[in-house]
This record gives sequence, C-alpha cells and structure tokens, in this order.
Amino acid sequence: MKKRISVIVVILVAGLSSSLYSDPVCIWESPEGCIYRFHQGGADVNCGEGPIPLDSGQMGSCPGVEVHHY
Amino acid sequence: MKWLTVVLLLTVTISCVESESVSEKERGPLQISQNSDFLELPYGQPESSNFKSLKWGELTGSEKEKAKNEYIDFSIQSEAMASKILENIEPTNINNLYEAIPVMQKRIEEMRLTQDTFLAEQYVAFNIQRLLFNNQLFTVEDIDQNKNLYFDTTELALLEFSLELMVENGNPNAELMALNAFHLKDYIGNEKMKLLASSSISNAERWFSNEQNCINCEFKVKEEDQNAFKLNSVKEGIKYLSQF
Repeated sequence: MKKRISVIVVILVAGLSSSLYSDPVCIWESPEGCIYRFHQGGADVNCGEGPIPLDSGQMGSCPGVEVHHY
Repeated sequence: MKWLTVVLLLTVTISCVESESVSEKERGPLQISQNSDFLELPYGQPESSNFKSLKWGELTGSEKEKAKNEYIDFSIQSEAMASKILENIEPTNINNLYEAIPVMQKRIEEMRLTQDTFLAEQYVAFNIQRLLFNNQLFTVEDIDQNKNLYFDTTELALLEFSLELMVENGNPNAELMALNAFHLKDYIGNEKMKLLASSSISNAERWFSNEQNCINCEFKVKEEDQNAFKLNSVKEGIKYLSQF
C-alpha cells in the first residue's frame, strides 16, 4: 500500500513540477503574414525582415490560435 | 493519506489557474497601435551563425513557408535556451542577476558549443536592458531620457554583460549601443570600449546595408518614412560610437 502511494505521489509531483516549469509560447501569423510570438517576457514580431520586440503598448494579447509548450 | 489529498488539491488548483490564463489569452483580439515615435530595435544575427531563415521577406511560395516554419521552430528553441540560461535566477531581481553573471556566462559558453544561441542570448540581454532602463527602450524620447539615469556598479556590471551579449550576437541597434556606451564609458577600459564600439558599428552597417535600408543613401527615402526615422537614429548612434 505504502509503495503504491509513493508511486502515485512521485507521478503527481513530477506532473506538478513540469506544469510549473513549462513556459507557454504562443505563435500567431497575422493576415499580413507576420509572425507574432508571445511569451512570458513580452512579445515580438517578424514580418520577414527579422524579429523586433514589441513594447507593452503594442503588444495586445495572444489570439490563441496556436500555443506551444516546451 | 492527508498529505496525498493536499498534493491532489494543489494539482487541481494549478490546473485551474493554468486554464484560466489560457482563456485570458484567447479572449482579447490582437491590437497593434501605430506609434510614430516607435523605434524598431530588431534582434540581429552574427556573421558566424549559419541560420538562414531569420529574414524570409524576399522569398516566395513554398520556400517562404519553409523559412517561416524554420524561424518559428528556432524562436521556440531559443526561448527554451534563454529559460535555461536564466534557470533558478530571478530575472527581475538586479542583485540576483548580478550575482548570477558567472553562472549565465558558463551556461552560454556550454550551449554555444552545440547550438546556435544568438537569438537566445539577445532575449536574455534585452530582458536585462529593459530591467535597467525601466522597460523604456522603444522611443527616441525614452532613449534620450535614459541618458539621465544613474547606475551603481552592480547595474553597470549588468549593463556591460548585456551589452557584450548584444554586440557578440550581431545586434544592429547602434543608437541603443550608444546609450550603453554613454553610461559605461567611465566604467570599462578604453580599449574594450573601442572594440565594442567598433563591433557595434559593423553590426549596424551589415544589418542595414541592403538597398532598402542603406545607411549611406537616406536621400532615397522620404523624411517622414519610418525607415528614415530609424536610420537617422542608427546614424546618430554610429556617430557617437565613432568617437571611441
């Protein structure tokens, strides 16, 4: 019984840790073909000329079309 | 058995918080405002990097789609690398970041051996720059006002560390480098400053050297053009850096 509980706890703690440390990144392509990347530190946009960080006033929020976790 | 229940409850709570934050993201539409003062500060790429898909603007058809997808994958990998560089470091705590400079340097050196880290390193550098400049690095006015800031030695060490990361990784924003040089000129030695300034100028000239963004042919673009606005800032930066 003790062993079984330990196994369950290890699985639960592992699951909990991975959910705490997986940073979500949202990647979204606008109709103009620009790639927006939203992450914990902010956001940036690449319209084909290289990525440019956005300031908070321009950021908006992720439309949630595609969300990647790593 | 009691603590098992606690763990279970915690897991459920975390899941709820996570789904709530995802809903938050899905709610708002993307709004990009046009700010005439907005100063683009692009991430750059060093000559030593072999990654070919940072700029896909001139490609067409399937080649363009392939390059876009490669960029998406690369940016996600870079974000993961930046997270590893900052692992167990509080990214908004100046003292914690300062103490962790040797740790970050070691992690970056190890990663460089096997991976293309130029974007990840610039993510880290920009985080530090934003922190030191109170998150205001996006308009000409902001950069100008940032000249009046005072930095203690801890902050200057972080500024130097982040400047080196930007310069080594091809960051082309000469006006931002000039702001850094302005604050660091009395802190770091002349020889080192000369090297950093000269590399910054090369990075800017290489990045903006195509016909559309040519630094020496600003007469081709109208004064009110955003490119002219940016290029004038870069040129001012180069002018300042040239004195070292």
